[in-house]
Amino acid sequence: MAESVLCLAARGIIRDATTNSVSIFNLMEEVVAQGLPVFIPEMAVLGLWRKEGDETRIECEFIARIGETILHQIPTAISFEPNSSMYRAIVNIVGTVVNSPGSLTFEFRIGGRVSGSYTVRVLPPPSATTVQG
Amino acid sequence: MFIFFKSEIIDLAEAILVTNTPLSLLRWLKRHPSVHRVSESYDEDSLLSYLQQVLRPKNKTEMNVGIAYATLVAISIRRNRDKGFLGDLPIDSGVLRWGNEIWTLSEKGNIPTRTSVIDIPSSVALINGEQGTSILYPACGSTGKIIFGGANG
Repeated sequence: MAESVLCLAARGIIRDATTNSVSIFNLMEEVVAQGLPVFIPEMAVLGLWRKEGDETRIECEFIARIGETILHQIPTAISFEPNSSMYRAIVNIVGTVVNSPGSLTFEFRIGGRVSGSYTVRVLPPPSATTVQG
Repeated sequence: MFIFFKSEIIDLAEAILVTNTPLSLLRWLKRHPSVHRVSESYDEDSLLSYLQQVLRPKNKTEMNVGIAYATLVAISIRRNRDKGFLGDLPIDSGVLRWGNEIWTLSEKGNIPTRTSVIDIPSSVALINGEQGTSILYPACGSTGKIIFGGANG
């Protein structure tokens, strides 16, 4: 199996090909939409796992959902190398439409069970106020 | 056979004089363009043969040693790219003082990474223009929250 060490979402997650180190830009904490539906042009999700046991390849599924509504769902795999006990997955999401406020959840599932997840609150648009002058 | 340019060899020799731990030397070499150029231009056998040639002189200068470490790191990059893992140190650990440490550190920093892209659904473009979906452009305010601005809703 694989133990989830980290799961987070940000505007950009980049791996430096020279040093193999990962940089995270603009961590997503909360989405304040001016109107709904709302379009998020780019997001990225990072998953990091530590190897547990002898299994080297583990089938995994990435899901992005708002509440119970699935926005994106793709299969992926955790594939440990012989000399590494860690594994990273970066999922770049180019374009997401969120129709309603709620919890925007990104999760990696192994065998149907959540292995790592990150949730961002999508807040409803602020109500209009009338200013008399 | 010479695989590094003269200016690069001077750089590599300076690295040997300046860095004082295997980790700092490895980081320096992994950032140097000559190491990546060499790892892309030569196959592992050629690099290994060159490394053995460089290590042959009994009295080595900082230039020999700099070239040797740079070639070793180039081999690690090449092998990782070709085979996906490093395996054993390809030379006798006694001939390069930090050879074993450099190799071990290269293995540790070698976390495999899979990158996937979920592309924009074609329906989004339609919604965006005709139904007035808000487009989010993050602007990080002093609160640290990502605030998205949209046109309507």
